[in-house]
Amino acid sequence: MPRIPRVQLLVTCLVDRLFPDTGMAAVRVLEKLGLEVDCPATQTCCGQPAFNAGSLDDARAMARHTIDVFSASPAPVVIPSGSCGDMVIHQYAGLLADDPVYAARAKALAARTYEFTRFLVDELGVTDVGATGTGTVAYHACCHGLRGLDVRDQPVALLDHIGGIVRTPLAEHDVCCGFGGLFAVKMADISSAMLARKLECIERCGATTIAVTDVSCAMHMAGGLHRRGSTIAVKHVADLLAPGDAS
Amino acid sequence: MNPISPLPFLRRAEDALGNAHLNSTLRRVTTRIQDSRNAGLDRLPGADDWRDHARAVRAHTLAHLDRYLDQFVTNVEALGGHVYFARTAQDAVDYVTDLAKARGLKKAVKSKSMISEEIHLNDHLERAGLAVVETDLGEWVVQLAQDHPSHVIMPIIHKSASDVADLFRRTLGATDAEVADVPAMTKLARERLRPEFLTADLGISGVNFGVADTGSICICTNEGNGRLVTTLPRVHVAMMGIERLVPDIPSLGTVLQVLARSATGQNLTVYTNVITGPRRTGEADGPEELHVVLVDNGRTKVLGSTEAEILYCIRCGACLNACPVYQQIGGHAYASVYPGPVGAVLTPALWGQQDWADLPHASSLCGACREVCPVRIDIPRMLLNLRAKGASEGRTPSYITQGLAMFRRVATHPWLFGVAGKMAALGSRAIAKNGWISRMPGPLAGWTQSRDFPAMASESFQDRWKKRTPRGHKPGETP
Amino acid sequence: MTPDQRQQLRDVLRTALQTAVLPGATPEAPGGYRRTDPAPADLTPQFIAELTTVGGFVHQPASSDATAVARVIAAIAAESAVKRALMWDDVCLPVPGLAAALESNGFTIDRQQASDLTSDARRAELATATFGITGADAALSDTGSVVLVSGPGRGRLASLLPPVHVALVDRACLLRSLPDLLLARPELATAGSNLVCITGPSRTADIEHTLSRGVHGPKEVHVILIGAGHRVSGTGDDGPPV
Repeated sequence: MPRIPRVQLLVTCLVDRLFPDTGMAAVRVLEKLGLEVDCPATQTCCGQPAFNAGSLDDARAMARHTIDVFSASPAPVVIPSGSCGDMVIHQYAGLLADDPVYAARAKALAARTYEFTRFLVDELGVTDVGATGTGTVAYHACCHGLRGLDVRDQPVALLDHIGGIVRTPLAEHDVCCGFGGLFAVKMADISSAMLARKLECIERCGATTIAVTDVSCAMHMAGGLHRRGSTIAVKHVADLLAPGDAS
Repeated sequence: MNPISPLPFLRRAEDALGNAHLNSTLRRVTTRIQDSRNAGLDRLPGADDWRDHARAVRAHTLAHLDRYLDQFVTNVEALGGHVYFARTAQDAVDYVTDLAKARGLKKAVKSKSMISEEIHLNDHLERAGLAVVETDLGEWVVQLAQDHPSHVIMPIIHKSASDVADLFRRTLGATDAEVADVPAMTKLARERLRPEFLTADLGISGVNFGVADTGSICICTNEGNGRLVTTLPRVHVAMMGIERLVPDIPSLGTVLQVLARSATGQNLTVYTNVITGPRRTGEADGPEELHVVLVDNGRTKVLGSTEAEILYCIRCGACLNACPVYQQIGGHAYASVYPGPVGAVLTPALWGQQDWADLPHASSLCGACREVCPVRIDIPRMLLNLRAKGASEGRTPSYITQGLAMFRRVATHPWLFGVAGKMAALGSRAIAKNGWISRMPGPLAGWTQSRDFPAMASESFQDRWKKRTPRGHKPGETP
Repeated sequence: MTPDQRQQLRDVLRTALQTAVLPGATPEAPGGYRRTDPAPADLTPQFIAELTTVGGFVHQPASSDATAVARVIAAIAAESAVKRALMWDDVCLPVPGLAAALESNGFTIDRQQASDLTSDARRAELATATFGITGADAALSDTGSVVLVSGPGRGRLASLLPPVHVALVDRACLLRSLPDLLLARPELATAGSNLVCITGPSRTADIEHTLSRGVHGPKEVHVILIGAGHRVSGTGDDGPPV
């Protein structure tokens, strides 16, 4: 296993602005494993919302910016999100295929970009980061990570090595929660119906916390749980691996 | 074709979501049929390899469709069959109507053909004076109810048994005993439709696959109506999409291996029927005449596009069953002959986005469809293509276009991103209570219909990061 | 199609293919997939299991002669008021003299004639048969299917119109699966105007996804296994299904 001394964090716009604790947790985990973490200050958004809406021009602009930001250093890029990860790893190359400069740069960036849990387990070979916790946790498989990036056993392996927690299965754990980005607003009725079904499974599973790899899905599920007055929490795997400490 | 309903998509979806019976039926049936599909593929050693090979067969065929269709025509005609290439829906309808008139045909029995629904064949034949009888039980119910199918292989998934019983009472004068339960209704269907098969002079079928090498057509059914329709009447007309082709008999075997398993979990449909030409000398049954109508109706346009891959589809319906959106809204909400994930691509690809712009957006892009497709069609890729096409045609709602343009401007200027972010955080915290917003403004109100929205953090990750490394060192520098 | 129409079709397709995006397309035809899992020594047990699962019946009389086979069929027909069999011609069946033996068991025999379908009366009469008796060109153990090819004296209707279909299957024609059959003997698919692979009795689940048998095709399918080939020992019988 080659030693990876330093990585760049693509924090994602949602983590940056809505769930900064998750970003800090990811950093703490990586540092605990002996890595230096850079977080380029000029990063903004990977461009997925525009891409999903079909605004390719806007998406390309943001993709070029993101590529520029993360190409300044050759260090691998770690992303605590399956959907943003899928965007950079799988979609950038096609999106910029006709760009004489950025086509190759997109491919090069994709080749050294990793989703957070896949990075820990598949690249670093680590499943036990020495974390502890309490309560019962159930894992929900976020779609882009699962089907786009093959994020399957890795988060579960990490959760199973958290001392003190019990993991319980979640029915329909690989069925979409209904977020889908702008879908949640454009097709609010359908999104809400999908959410209701997901929450029904969550409330039945007996967990106190639902673990995910995407804060976007977390936000949608947590928002629904909060509206119902539920105390069930939805947390990113990173938050469970390195809880607390607001530094 | 035009949308089956004049209502806008969102309204149709809303209606479907409000239908409690539909909700519980869809949930129950799609769960069961997915379990069956999984079991059916688990029973097949090397199922993944079979699927890869089936994909290869379909991809290769389409990439050389000019050659294979030409070969198909040669071989159908060599055995005395007729082939007609219908460029448009009207061409197809006219051919069949003219044929019926020329041969003095009075009654048609039909086995399942989605193409015939696409082109409204029944309506046109009836107007030309033919009696047309659907014989697939679900399609017959649809015909009696003057309704539309809501699934590619389970047309009346949206109807309950008691709905069907009521319908049979009303339209057939059925007695209570005759509609007492599903077996009774099935028996009723058999009794009522048997005479139709025996007296019809025209049989109309679909085609699951044509075989180029032999001019054969393969028709898969469970009920037996596909066999009756293609055996008893004196003229058989087979409606075939130009893309429904495989090169040879062995490749037919490959696609058949994954079709029924993906559709219902059965190893094979009860009747896998391969027809090669009309009745032969010495045979005592089979039609005197066989006509294959090759229907384009937009398919060559799709073939020439970035959505050509959707033509690999073998019409198993697995994507519908796996789609969490279809599971919620059912087939009628799509208002197309082709609902669900395949329909969300095929429909606008075939007939443009004037009427169908919403369908590619009726998806969270979860990818479940791609995962279950027996020929591994990348539906999400094409949904995104179609969304981009729609956007370039100016079909994106202005609040989204403007919002994204603004976001792009901000996201390509980091200092602006920071400032805008701070302002948004201030705004969101102003309307939040205990860290949550229960009513979002304007077009974002759809979010708070069913969920709260978290307030933005007062300190962003980047703010905290800067504090953490006060010198703000550049990447690569050791602190 | 006229040469012009064929040219038009080719042209329209070739134009489209210039811009077609077809991922995974190869220049060579892939042909049929060749399986790699090993075959069991005896295909009979799986054939029986699969056909039974889809609601069919398998009979294994101790002897394959007409008397024994007729007795099996008579037992199948025991509860039927009307014993009218629509049969393939004798020469097409693997059991010589079966028709005569069935007549001795109280059956009326009907056979399809070339002119049958031109007569309304004859169509109606064919439909009064209560049993259809055919041979089979192959049987498939993976799926419990029988494969019938049409031809002179082996009409489609015998396996289609009557509510009960009895297929006489020589064990020697057992194969593993439809893909195997189509790979090994593709010419079978076009030997007649129709090849049908029948997997159990006719069924539908259109109403509320509730399974119902005997829609338009036969309600019952019985396979009588005859001939040497492989046989599971100790299960020979003359009557009730295995």
